[in-house]
This record gives sequence, structure tokens and C-alpha cells, in this order.
Amino acid sequence: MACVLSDSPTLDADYQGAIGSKFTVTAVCATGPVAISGAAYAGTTLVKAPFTFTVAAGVSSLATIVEGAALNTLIQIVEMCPSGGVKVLRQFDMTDPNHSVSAVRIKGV
Amino acid sequence: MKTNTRFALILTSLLVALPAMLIAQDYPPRVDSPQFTPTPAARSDHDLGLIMDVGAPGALQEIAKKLVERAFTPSLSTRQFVQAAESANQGIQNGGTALSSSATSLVAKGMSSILGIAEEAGAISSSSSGSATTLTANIPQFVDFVRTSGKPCYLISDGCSFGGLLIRGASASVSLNTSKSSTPSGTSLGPAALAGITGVQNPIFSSFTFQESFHGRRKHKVTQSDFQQAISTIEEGKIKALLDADITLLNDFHNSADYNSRLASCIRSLKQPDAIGEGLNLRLNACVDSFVDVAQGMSKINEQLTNFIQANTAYDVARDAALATLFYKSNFTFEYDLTNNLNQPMQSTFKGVYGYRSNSGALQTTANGSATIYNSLEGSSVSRARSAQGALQVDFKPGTKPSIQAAYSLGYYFQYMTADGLIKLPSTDFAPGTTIPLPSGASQLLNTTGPIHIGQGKITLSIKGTNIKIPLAVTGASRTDLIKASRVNGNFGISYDFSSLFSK
Repeated sequence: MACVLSDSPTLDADYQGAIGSKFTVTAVCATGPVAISGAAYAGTTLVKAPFTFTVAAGVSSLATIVEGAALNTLIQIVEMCPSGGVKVLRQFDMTDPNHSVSAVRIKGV
Repeated sequence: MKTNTRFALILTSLLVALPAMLIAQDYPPRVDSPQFTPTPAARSDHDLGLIMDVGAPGALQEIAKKLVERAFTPSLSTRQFVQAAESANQGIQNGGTALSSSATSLVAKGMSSILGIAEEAGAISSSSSGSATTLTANIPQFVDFVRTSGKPCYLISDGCSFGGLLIRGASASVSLNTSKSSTPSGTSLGPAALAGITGVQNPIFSSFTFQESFHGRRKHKVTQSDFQQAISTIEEGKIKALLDADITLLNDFHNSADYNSRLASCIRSLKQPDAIGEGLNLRLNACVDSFVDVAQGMSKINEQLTNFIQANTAYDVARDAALATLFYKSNFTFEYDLTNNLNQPMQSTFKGVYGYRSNSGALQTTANGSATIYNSLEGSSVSRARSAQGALQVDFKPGTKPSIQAAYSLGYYFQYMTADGLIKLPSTDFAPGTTIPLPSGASQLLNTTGPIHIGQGKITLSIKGTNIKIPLAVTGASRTDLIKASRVNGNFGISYDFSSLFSK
């Protein structure tokens, strides 16, 4: 099975998924420890892994707070796909630990 | 309003309110960022949308910063930003200075975050206890704000310069007594002198404190498991508050047709052939400016940005405290205190503080030693060296987390006064109850040299999910500084984390 989320073809959302399907996100970093301290989507807020949500109808923001153990490292927020692979939802250089919160928009289709 | 007054307000808001989210380095990305490689035109609309959307890391901070810069237009209340920063700080104060009238702890501790006392989150903040107002300057954040070059030295930074380390560990505060405007005189000498003996502090200027903290050796090999564990200790309320504030703000942008139109326009702009180098830089800034225009038209932008700033600040402090326990098990703090007690000569105290925390964080030990000298002897012949002090405190917080969490503390304080106490007598005063004039200058209190022992036991109850803490303490002292009589006090209080209240 492929990933639950796929790129949105329209600008009103970043990703889309089938309404009611579950997806799990995590953070990865090739050069050091990284962790999600909290994530929220469509009225559900989680502060402990696994960060698993259900795709909701409409467009909702998936907000995550990601912490890395080192600065100037590439951090990726990914969906852990049922197939075993990952889909990168957002990536950024962690140059400033005060900017660890970010979000993507997910549309239920 | 005059321009210079406005400028002062804006400058104040910048210095006071935004330090926790300054220097938005991540947004918009630099023109040489891999995200624009090989050129923006080669990237998909989806990719550029992700990069430029207000959900990108640092985007909301950058918009907030630009809104403050535009504060010549009255759409953003500078006062609200000031209140936001102050509220964030007040929510995480940890009680008064040790041995002050509002003290809930015997042992003075460093402000460094390893001990959980790194609680002055803004560049400059104020807090009040009774009639005393304390202004605190968090030097690292202040320097970060005014920095025009060089890299900030964060808690997790490697390779900080010595200057960066000094700045990171520095903190200063000044305490002002706002209840009185002048020193008591004339027939009020009796109560005033008694107040001085019992420790009431002088009007206006009460004390100045400077702290410089040094972390112990940094633990470089941090495992994923340890890191995950440390992050999991960040207070749940702080995480939820930040996520809530972030999503609330984002929803207002994303539900705005104007914003979505400008984001689409921005993407089209970045895909133009000349969007490279300086041309790209100009277009990126134009995109951000257009989003700021949208923000200025949003009815609740002040309130929502204020909540976001507060939540961000409170979270960052909690996060740094959690990571400090992982990266640094110990720290050392040097402290200088200048104290201006009523009817006593000014005193200088030089203090060293050492803190150690166990791997689990359940056991925390703090020790300090200090020496106090009289800054002036006011003509007296007593020794300038007034006293020496030592203190030890052990805090234990069991790992289990029932609905009511208890933290236990035991403290012991020892002071040896090498010189008799001094009180200052104004020349206009009379002996209590008489019209006999007293000579001006310092008078020596007889027989106050010798040891002082103080012990304290404390239980701090935290009620889960309420942000309420209730410290209960019993303190026994063999004597006080200037009066040779033992006493036993019971203290209790309630503290509430207001930052969580404001950020919900």
C-alpha cells in the first residue's frame, strides 16, 4: 500500500488523503537525534508518539513541533507509509531552535 | 503622538517583547538555499507553496517582526506585545530571591536553565512581589536581538565562542521598592531602625544582582532514546498551547481568500526567469510583505499573535530546561549582589553556586558559598568583611505522576558573622520616644558576631492539569543577622502559571 498522503494538485492544500484513513508522522534527521514534541490536526492534539491522525473532511493544518539535538542539520517531517517507506511532508534546516513549529495543510478527499 | 514618542514605544516593544522569536533565519529561505536549487522556476508550485506558506518554520515570527516594524501604523498594539512578554515571564517565576521576604527557598540558585530556574524568558521583564518590583535583563536574548552579525549561541550550539558562552550565561536584575519615595526621618527613627534590623528593605533601590552561569562539560553523544526522553518531559500544557496558538493563527490566513490569492501570486513571481540572485531576494521579500499586508487586515491579528508569542516563549523556556538536563548535568554560577537595606550600609555579596542533577532528573542538589562585605563602614571601626555563608539544598521529585505530584526539599544555611552589624542613623533623628538627638553615621550593634544556622523543609504540591503549585515550608533559624533570638516560621503559598491561561 502506498502512502496515505499525496501531493495536492491545488494550492488550497499541500497534501491530500482519503477521508477516514489514518496516517502517522515522525521526524527524521540523518545526522543526529530528532523528536516531535507535539502535533495537532483537525482538533486532535498528541504529545506522545505515535503521532497518528485520521484524515478529516475539508482542509486542516497539521502542526508539528520538532526538536533536533544539533543546529544546522536537515530535518524532515515524514509520513510513515504503510508500505514501509516514507513520504517527506516538509524539510528544513534547523538553524534556530526557536523556530521548531511548522505546519502543512491536508485536504480530505 | 509625537514621532519620537512613537519611536520610543516601538523600540521598547522590540527590546522587550520579541526576543524569544527573533532573527527569523528560516523564513524566507536564503536565495542560495537548496530549496531554490537549481532555480525556483525549476521547482513545482507545490514545492514553492510549501516553502512560502505561513506554515513554514519561522514564517509567523517573521510576519510578527515585520508588523512591529510597521507599528507607525496603529494596526498593531505595541502595548499588547509588552504585556505578552511580561505575562509569559510572570507565568514561570519561581518565587522570590532566597531569604527575601517572599522566599520559598533557602538556597540561592543560578538562573541557568539546568536547575529549572532559567525562567526569565524575555530580554527585559518585570515582576512584582509586595512593594518590590524587579526588572530583569536576560542578556543572551537581548544580545540576540540587537545582534547584527555573528551566530547566536543556543543551548544546543556547538563551537560557541568564549564571548558567546559568557553572553549565554549572563543575567542581571535590579530590584526597586515602589512603596516609599524617601528614607524615614525625624521621630520615625524608632520604627524605621527596627524595620532595618528586621530586614525591611530600603525605598527605591533595593538590590542589584548579576549572574554568570557556566555549564559543566557538555554531553556530546546524545542518543535518540535519551533525546526522546528529554523532549517528553516538556510540560504538556506548553506544547498544546503552542500548537493551539499556531493553528488558530494559520487558520485565519488559510481561510483568507486574499492570502491564498497572494500566495498564488507569489509562486508565479518566483517562477519568473529573473528570479535568481538579488532578483529572487527582492521577490521573496515582496512575497513576505504581501503576507504582512494580509495580516494587517485580519481583525484578531493582535490577539492571535500575542497568544502565539506567549506560547512560543513559554515553550522555548520549557524546552531549554528539558534539554539542559540532558546535555548538562552540572553547572556553576557566579553571582554578585549589591544590597541596600534600610538603615544599613550598602553590602556586596560574592556568591558561587553549584548545581548537579541526576540522570533521571528526580534528584537535584544545589550548593552555594558566599562572602559579604560592607561597601562603607560609615566611620565605624568594625571589619569590612561582614559575614560568610554556605548553603546546601537537596530536591527530590519522585518519578511517579499521580494527580497530585509532591516534590520534597531539604535545605540548610549557615552563616558566620565576622563583624558586628551596622545600622545607619540620619543626623536628624532622635532616640525612640525621646527628644535626645542621635549622632549621625553608622552605629555598631553589639555582639552580633557568631554563627547562624537555618534549616528548611519544604513540600511543593503540583496539581496535575491545573498549572497550580502549592509550596508548604517550615523554617527554623537559630537567630537572625542582627537579633540573637531563635524563631520558627511556617510558609505556604500558591503559584499559578498564567502563561498557560493566556495562551489557551
